[in-house]
Parts: sequence; structure tokens; C-alpha cells
Amino acid sequence: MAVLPPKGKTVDRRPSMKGKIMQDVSNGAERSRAWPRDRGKSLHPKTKEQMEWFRQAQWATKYMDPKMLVSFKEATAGTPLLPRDMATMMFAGRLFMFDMLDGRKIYSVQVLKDVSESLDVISQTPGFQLVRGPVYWEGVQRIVGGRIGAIVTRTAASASFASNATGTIIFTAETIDQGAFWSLAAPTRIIIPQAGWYNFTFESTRSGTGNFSFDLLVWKNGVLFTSQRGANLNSSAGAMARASIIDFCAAGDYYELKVVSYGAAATWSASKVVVVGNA
Amino acid sequence: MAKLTGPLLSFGARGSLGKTMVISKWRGVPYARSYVVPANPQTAAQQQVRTTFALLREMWKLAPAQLQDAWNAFASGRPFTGMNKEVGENVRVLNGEADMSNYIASPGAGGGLVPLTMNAVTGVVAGTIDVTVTAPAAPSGWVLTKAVAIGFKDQDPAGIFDGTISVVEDLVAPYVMTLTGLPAGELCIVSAWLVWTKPDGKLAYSVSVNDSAVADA
Repeated sequence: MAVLPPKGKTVDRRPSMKGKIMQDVSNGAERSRAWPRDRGKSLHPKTKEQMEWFRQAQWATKYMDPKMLVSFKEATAGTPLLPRDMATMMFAGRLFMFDMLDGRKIYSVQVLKDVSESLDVISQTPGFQLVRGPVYWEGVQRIVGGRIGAIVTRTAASASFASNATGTIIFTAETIDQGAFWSLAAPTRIIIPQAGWYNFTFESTRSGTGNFSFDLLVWKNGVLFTSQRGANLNSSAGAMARASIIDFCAAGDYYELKVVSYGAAATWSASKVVVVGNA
Repeated sequence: MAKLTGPLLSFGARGSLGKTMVISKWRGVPYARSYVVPANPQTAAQQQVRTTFALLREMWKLAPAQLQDAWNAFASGRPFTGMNKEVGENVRVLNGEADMSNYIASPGAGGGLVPLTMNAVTGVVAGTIDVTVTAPAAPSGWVLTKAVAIGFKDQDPAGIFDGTISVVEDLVAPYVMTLTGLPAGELCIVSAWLVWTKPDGKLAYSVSVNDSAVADA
């Protein structure tokens, strides 16, 4: 076996038989010893911190309410989990849920965070709400509806307009009006009483037999806002068109329903506006 | 004189040769070296730990069987003894403290359920403290075997243990016990725990809970 000269930065190292015997100076005294075995690195401070946290969690578990510990025993019976595992998960904020005897379910804040972050996959825009789309769930602008709303209709005879002429529906009645959206003083207008998000549904039915098309037009503050094309394919019952919009409205904004029939004069019945908002 | 049970540097060599050479192990590695007087800086912190350690060792010697049983159950099947842990865990919680209120008399073992309440009040006879323990409902198949309480004079953990350790146990509810033989008129630490018998016949020890009271004068 070769005797090797000392290598590296080690001081006071004597020529040694690598892997077998090491000679050095310890505490000022000559020392011969077996070659030290390879050792792993010392624990990372974070690891030490986690180990200490775990140790304290185990101690804290022993002082828990006996009723809760019994519940843990029952919950883990027949599973690979130990009751203390449940407690540890609880301390770590990872226990999914407590099922209380009165039927309540108590979730940890960590679970709330986890679920919330998973929903961020769908939408991260504050104020949006989740809606089941045709393929996936989707995030859409939120309507905290139901606080105020109105249903405004035309109960008078059908309105008639010439071919290709844009006519404004005059409403004649309201079945619900929680915010003075409509009045006889301005019977064509849905007037927003308070600022906020609103959901509108406008609809009207073009009467008559024939093969024709028409537009349902929603105007806002005297300007075209959106339109919905309708068509009748030789039905004697006519055809209905409906337009739904979600809009952020200022107090005093007003909306009107206009119609236009292409190729022939038309009469319009069952005209209605449903509006609901969170002002 | 070194005791040599094998060749030099083998597993069996350990000890000093006169005051000239030492054969020993360092973290499992056998070595031989010249004898040197061991370093002993004796810092204040080191001395404090040492005296607390010594006090706890003394307490272990004086400890009643019920206390040692709890720690030995905790150590059962593990690479340390009950005494190791009793000293180690209590050094951790008593070092630097001014009194013994943190003392752990039972570390809990086998999942024993902790007492719901424990109350210690001055007794009616000199040197006594009355202890009342209430137990939780037993889990299915479990039997509450007994309640155990110990008491000793409160003192600075960094010192020589003063006094004795009084013990009492109660096998039947209600668990109202009287600790005797305590120093009259002195503030004492009282610690109590429960011993359960599990469906498999094994004992489970609760962790101890502490209170303090003055022994009747």
C-alpha cells in the first residue's frame, strides 16, 4: 500500500495510507486513526427547521383535546394513517376537512388556498364568475344580480313598421320594476336608476308567414349598441329574436329596442325587456 | 489502562494508556492519539446545562416507578432509554427557566389521552396537596387503568435537586388523590397523567399536565 503525501487544504496532515490510516494533529497532539468514512453533508437549516417543527407538532398532538384525538383514531382506523398523522396535517394546514357531528364541514385555510389556486387555471380576473361552458368551465364578468330589476312589456297591439324601416318599440306596461326603470313619460326607454353591472334580455316576435329576415337592435343612449339577426323560414307563427347583453351602466343611461324587417312590412308582438342588476 | 479486546485500531480498543496515549473512537471511527488534558471552557451556559442535567439525573434516581414506567414505555423499541429521554426532553424545556413548571413527568406513549382537567390545591394535613383529575371518555375498547400524580418542591432547575418526589395513584373514578410528604408551606409542582389499557392489552400513557400548589403547613 502506498503512503501518500497530504493533499488539499487540510493542515497538519501527515503522510497517510489513503483509505486505511490517517495521521494528523488533533488538539496539538499527534493522532493516528482509521480513515474516516464518507459522510453526507450536514442538514440544511431549512431541513433542521422542519424537523424541529415536526418534533413540536408531535408534542402538541399529545396535548390535543381527547375528543379530537378519539375522532382521529376513528378516522384512521383501518388505514395506513396514524392518528398523529391527522394532527400533523392539521398543524400543517393540510388536513382537508373536519366533518363535525352537527353536519358542518370545516375546511382549513390551506385547502381554501389550494382550491382557489386551482380555479385560477380557469380565470384570474378579479370580479369574474365561473360559468360552465360547452367544453370547459369559463370565467365571465360577474353579475351580482337580483338586487334590482324590471320586466317591461308591450301589451298593446302589435307595433307595425314599413319594410326596411327601423322602428322603436313602445312599451306599455311593466310587471316588475324595482328601480323606476320605465315610465309612461318615456315609454321606449329602459332608464338605469343606479350605476352598476346589468344584464339585459330584449326580445320581440315578428309576425307573419314568409321567408324573411329581420334585425333586433339594442340602442344605448341613442346609439346602436348591439344587434341580433332573426329569420323566419316560412313559418306561419312568425319568428322571435332575442338579444342578451351584460353592460356596466351609469345612472341615467337608457336603452331602447328597435326592429327592422327586410323586404316586407312587419308587425311586432310579444316585445319584452328583462333587466336585472346589482347597482 | 486501556481495555484491549482486539488489535490496535480495531473495534475493541478503547481507553487511555497511563496519561500518554488514548485509544478511542470518534463518531464510530477508532483512533489512537497522544493524551491531552480535555478542553473544558466551563462557560456559564455550559455550566447551566450541566447543573440542569445533574438535577434531572438526580430526579431520575429518586423518581417513583410510575414515572419511570411512562418514560420507559416512550423509549420502548427505540434506540434510547427512558432515562435518556427524560433528561433530554426536560433539559430542553427547563434550561434557562427559573422554576420547574415546565417539567415533563410523562411524555405520553401509545396514544394515551390527556386528562381533561387537573387541579392541585393545598391539602388539609401538613405536607399534603389534594389533586383532582378528570378523564375523558375512553375510546371504544379502551379502559382507564389509573390516574397518577407526582409532586415535588418547586426550585431552580440549575441547582441540586432539593427534596423528594411524592407519588400517588388512583385506580377508580373520581380521581381525587392526596400527595403526602411534601415540604410544608412550600410551593410544589404537581404533575398528573393517565394510564390506559388498550384493546390489545398494551398500556398507553397520556402526556402529563402540570399545576402548582403550596403544601399544607
